[in-house]
Amino acid sequence: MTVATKSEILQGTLDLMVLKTLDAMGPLHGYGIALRIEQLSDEVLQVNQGTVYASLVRLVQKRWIRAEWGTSENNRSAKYYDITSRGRKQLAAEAKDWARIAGVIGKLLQLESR
Amino acid sequence: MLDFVRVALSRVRSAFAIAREDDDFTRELASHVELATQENIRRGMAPGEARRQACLRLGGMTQLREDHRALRGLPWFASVLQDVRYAWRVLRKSPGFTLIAVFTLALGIAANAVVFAALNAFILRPLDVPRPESLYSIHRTFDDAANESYPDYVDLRDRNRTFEDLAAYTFQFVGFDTGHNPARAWGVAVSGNYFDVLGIQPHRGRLFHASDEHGPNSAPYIVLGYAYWHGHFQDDPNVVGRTVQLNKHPFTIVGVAPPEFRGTLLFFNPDFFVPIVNQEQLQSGNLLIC
Repeated sequence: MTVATKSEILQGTLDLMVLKTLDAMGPLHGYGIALRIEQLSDEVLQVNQGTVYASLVRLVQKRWIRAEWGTSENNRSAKYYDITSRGRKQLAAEAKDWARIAGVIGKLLQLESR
Repeated sequence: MLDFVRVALSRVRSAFAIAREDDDFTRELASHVELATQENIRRGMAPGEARRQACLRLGGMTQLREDHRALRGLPWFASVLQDVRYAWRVLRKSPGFTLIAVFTLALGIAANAVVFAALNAFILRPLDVPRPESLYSIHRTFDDAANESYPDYVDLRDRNRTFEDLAAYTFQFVGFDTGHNPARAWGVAVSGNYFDVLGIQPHRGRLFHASDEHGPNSAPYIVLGYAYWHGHFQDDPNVVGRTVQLNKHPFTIVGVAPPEFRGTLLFFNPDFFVPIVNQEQLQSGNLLIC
């Protein structure tokens, strides 16, 4: 049960996190994205770094991000991902949704218990 | 909605580039491990340990590759393709079995087709004419000849006191030329009173009558079967009055038969109807010996 729930939550939220990371950091390779998300989540999100690649495929398919082979800072070839304008629009919409739902749940949880 | 289309298109594209994109992803994972290893070394790990940790944090590569491929392309398409290839190999390995299986299937399908044709003719679409119960078919039984001759028909018709009227028909196979595309067509040559005896009304134009006949080759008229008009003339309403060539003889289209009329033979829906008095033009031999 925990596994299913976890992956369900992950698929949506991980896509959103990847999108936001690219929005904030500019072009990044898969490793960079995974690292950044790990750092930001303060180790709360313990997943294999490989899972970001599933997220990246989904986002590329929807053309919210694009991929291109490039050269890393220490001269190694790596595939770089960058957010597109469609991706930015989507991000804005999803961020708004997220905030609204978070607000609702926050309020609910503040209800006094009997 | 558009995202759905975009994803579908992307998947179809990928389904035809599996090997190349697998390669691409393998390179991407290798570069990931490489970058992570460098980072670990910078943090003071021994090179071997740095690499091991990098792989550990990435996760199982085979699993990642499989998942990636499934997301990218059309997994069901790939597996169907695999099944087809496998079936083909197995069938080729045992030609005897294949032959018998194919033969059995062919036989089964043929039997079904025949049963359906019979069902269609007898039950689903019986002769659709006014008063079918008063319609009889006359055959000679005293010798092996399957058909009556035309003179015999004329005698029977003229001396008939049992039926209201007698009509005759015979198969007619012709080269049908509308001007630029001669094709084979199957129809019937019928006596002039054929449509009136059956009580058929035209779908378009008119049908020919006994009064159109004035001896051999006097009625170069043709009535199209509805299905043939639909299939070969695209329901053209201006078809009436056009001249077509049947075996290089000009015939004028006078009308189209109604859709429910499929001739008077089981299993045969005539493409056209022509007056039997003009049959000489359509036949190499002359059957009208009168």
